[in-house]
Amino acid sequence: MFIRDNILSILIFLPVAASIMVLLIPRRFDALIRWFSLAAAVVTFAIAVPLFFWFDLKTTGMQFQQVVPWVKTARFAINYHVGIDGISLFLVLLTTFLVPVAMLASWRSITDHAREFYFSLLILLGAMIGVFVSLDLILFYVFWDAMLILMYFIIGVWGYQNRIYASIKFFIYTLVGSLLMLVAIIYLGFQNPTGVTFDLLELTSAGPIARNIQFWLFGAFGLAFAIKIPIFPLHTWLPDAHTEAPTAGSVILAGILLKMGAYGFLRFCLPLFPLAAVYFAPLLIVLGIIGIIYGALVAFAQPDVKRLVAYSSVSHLGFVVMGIFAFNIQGIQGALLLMIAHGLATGAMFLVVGILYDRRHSRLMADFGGVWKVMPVLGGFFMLAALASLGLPGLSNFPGEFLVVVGTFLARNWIYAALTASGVVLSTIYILWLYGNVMQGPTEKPAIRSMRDLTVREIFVLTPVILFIILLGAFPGTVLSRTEASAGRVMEAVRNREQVRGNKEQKLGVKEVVASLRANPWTYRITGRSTSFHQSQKLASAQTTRAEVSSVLGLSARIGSKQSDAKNDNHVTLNLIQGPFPPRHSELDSEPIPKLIPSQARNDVVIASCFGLLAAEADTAGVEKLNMLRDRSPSRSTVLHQSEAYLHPVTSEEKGVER
Amino acid sequence: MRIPFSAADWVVVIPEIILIVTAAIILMLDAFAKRASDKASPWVALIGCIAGLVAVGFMWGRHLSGFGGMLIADNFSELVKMVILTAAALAILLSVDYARREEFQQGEYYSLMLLSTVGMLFLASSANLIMVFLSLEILSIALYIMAGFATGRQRSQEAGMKYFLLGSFSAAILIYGVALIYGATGTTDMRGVASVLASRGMPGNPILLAGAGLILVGLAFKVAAVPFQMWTPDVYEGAPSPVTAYMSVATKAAAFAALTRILVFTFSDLSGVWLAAIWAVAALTMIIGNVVAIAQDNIKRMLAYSSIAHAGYILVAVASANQFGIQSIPFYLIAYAFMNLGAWAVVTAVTKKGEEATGIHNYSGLFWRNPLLAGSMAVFMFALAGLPPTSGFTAKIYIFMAAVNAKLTGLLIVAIITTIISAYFYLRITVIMFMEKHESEPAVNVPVPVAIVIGIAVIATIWLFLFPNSTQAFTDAVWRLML
Repeated sequence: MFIRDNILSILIFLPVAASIMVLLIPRRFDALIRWFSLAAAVVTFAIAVPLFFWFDLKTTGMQFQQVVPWVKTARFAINYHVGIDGISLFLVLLTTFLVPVAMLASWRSITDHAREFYFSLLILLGAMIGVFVSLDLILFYVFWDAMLILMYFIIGVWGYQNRIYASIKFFIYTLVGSLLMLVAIIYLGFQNPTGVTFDLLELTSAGPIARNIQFWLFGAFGLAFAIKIPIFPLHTWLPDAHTEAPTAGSVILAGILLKMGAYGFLRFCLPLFPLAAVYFAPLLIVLGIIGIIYGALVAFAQPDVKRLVAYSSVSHLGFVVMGIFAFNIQGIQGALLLMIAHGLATGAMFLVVGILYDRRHSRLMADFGGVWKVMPVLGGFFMLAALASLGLPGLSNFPGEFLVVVGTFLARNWIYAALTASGVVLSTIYILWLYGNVMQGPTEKPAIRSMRDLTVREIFVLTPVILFIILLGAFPGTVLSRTEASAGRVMEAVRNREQVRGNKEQKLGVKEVVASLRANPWTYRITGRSTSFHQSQKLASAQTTRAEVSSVLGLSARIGSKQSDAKNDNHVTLNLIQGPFPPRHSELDSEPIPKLIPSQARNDVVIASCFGLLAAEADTAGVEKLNMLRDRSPSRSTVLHQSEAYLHPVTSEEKGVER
Repeated sequence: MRIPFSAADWVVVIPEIILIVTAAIILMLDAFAKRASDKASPWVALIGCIAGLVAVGFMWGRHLSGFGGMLIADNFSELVKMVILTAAALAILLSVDYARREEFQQGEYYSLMLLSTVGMLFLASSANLIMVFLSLEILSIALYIMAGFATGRQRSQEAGMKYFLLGSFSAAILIYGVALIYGATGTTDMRGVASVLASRGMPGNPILLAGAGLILVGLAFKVAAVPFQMWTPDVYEGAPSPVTAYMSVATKAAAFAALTRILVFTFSDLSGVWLAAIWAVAALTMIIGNVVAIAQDNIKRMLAYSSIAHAGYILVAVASANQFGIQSIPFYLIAYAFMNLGAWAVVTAVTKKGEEATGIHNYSGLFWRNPLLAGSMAVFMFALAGLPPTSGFTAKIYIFMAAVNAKLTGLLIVAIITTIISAYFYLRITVIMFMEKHESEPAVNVPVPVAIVIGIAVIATIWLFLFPNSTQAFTDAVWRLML
């Protein structure tokens, strides 16, 4: 089916195509421009929804992948490579959901150059989806910067009084981070032992990166993402940008753009630089805690309603940082859940603030008071958004915050958990303070008395957001079940970081591997994934190879079962689950690797040792089968170039030792 | 002494001949049919450029050489010639309304432009140091006059004079360098020098080093590299906008072609010394160009410093002296040609008679007066800043990759920091255009030829980003044939 095969590309390019069509509509057809843009955004959302149902829960790798060559030179290629997993699925859904909401929210408030406004929003939509689905680092960077440019225009052209300062600050801050990231990307691509590549899957699977290089690259990537999240001392652009942006801009900034930093850590920093991530974790966790508490305290001190909500984001994103750097399944799952929840709850808060501003033309808390009496419907929506934001159980933010606190407790100790949890208490204070000052109390001011309650359009804007807030609070499991496999993979990459640290490089053959296995007990598991294949490499032979593998699965099963009854650890578990064989690099990335194996030869040795051990178990027929497999293997030239040496049947003498 | 010329020699210079003939036709028209020439000159010149482009296209892949190896028509030179001729054609389109408005002598203006183009084409083909000098003179003398073409305007006069004086100095320095090289090696042929160097092994020879250094100085002047950039802001500001547009792109392309060829053909053995010098010049050029550009309140001066800065980025590729670097130079030149010409086209559209309205405040609220023009300018600004989705980004990552590949870490850091700095002043233009509202500024009407140039430049800038491989066949061929 066309849509299913190209769904991610459609999601990126449909809004872009629509944006160009918007530009072609003459300016005087104001209503047409708005309706057309809204329709395009809603259609994009409608196309994205099936992703939720088509998404395969059990696959840990990337789904809906697509690879198209983009830049080709003699030495390297940049591919248009997209795909999603559990980490990006809900961020894509959130993006496609929030943009039409943001459009509808600015229906009346953006009148000047509305055509260019909707043009920017639509391209921004495509670029944001691009950020979340790119699996090529250069492509990711392109979308990352494109999104930055568009947001800069949205804040700078359609923002409030102080918009120019805010937009330049936002731009320069982000650009500083992203240019460093660009250099790191290029450096990373050139470091790759199997040839220059910028493909994330190839990079993660190509083997570990040397320790000191990991630190530098983590620093460059981490700075870009930390600015985006934002982590405590780098957060100063956020209150300005959020406050000065038009409502649509604030909703998208808080709802989606802030998530890109956290997403970047999960997608790039942890899998690529696990050693550095663990090394820097204490620093980031301390900054996260500072962010939680500082953000909350400063939010409490804000006279400006919008600024208060902006600072609350600093506090909430501190939770996300804590969750990510807890490095356990609870923390990462909690962070992912909270990212979605925060997008909805804070998005709703900004919508409410925008509605209040449209009526009162002020954002100062002192100018409000007793609004509930004149705007009861708004009061209800506001109440739900506020309660969700302060983490009330049953609403969206609670499960995420809870999981993060649990994760922190498990990973560190109760002091960290308590400090993290204090954010929940503090948020209660400032959110209730905000709500009380704005909505409750006597309705004294005449300007307030004349405020009118929500229009039908505004109810349309808020209802779906609030609905999802309630749904997410009630059924967090729908999200968690889909993110679990991917979160687990990130976690494993970090957990297995130490095994990839090679001491002195040294080439080993099968015999040495077997010997070293005997000396260093380790558990080896191949989790089969069928998704990391590039389309170009999806050769017919790969299919037959897979069939052949299932026929030798009997052998592996024998080895696997051996482990269960063995008392000592000197055995290897080989769980060969169905998948391409020999497993591509990426299948091996998160696996523990015996020491002393150089990165380049790692895969060869591991695969060969699998073969070797299989051969040790098997009879002559089995060895022949393996040789046949090797010949048919699509990537034998790179993976098994030394296979002759490895595939010698292990002598009976060795067999005896092995047994 | 009899110098044998065969027909094959003349084939090498067909594009140049076409342009010379066209220039002659325009001059004749000017002399004998003044009225017709006023109307027809730009279009005749344009046809000449297009005919030249077609001729270059036919010569693609032939790898010819002629006149005793003085001129080479390999793919590298053909590619650079395409850039030069395209720039010339677009500059002619830019000039159509401008030259009428400023009441220029039509015939002289366009024939001079074609003649300077001839010089640039020769420069791109030069395989002999004497030819480098001669073609530099051909292109420069025409440009000196063109820079001072607005005879009624003092700044234009000053620009022409300044360019002439400093340009003559640099030419003298260059020819002195050539003389020293000849003294040291007994030849001025680029490959000949290289083979003498290889056979005799004279890396530390002071005469040779001095000669190489002086040649570098002469070319650095033409590409406006620090510390030989002093003339650039004044000349770019004073010269008529279309002339500046033309020379900021075409001269740079031709001079970089010569520089690259000398590096690859001649001094690859000397690369240690030569590259250290280029390293320093590149770093200084990026820093000075970008930092000083921040302080500019005149858009022409700002673009002048921006063009200095871009020379620095291209020098990074030269300094990396590897396949990536050499391949990224033509791509950068192509990308830069379109984005920079586009930016100058917008400047041409906004300026009023007598080169008024060149302050950046004249751009305030341009988005509200002419959204398309402002949008195009924004594309060029982001392209010059090296941000996606523009060819400027692609060009810059090629350069960065070349630097990473050549392990030029220090230079890369300078390039990154200056890129961040440059974002500020390019961004400033977009801020002024989009975010400040000044209804008092007059509306801007763009003449059709200028609009065509802007349109071509925008499309090319985005096209080269989306499909960078469309030039791949070219840049790959360049590398293969140069070796």
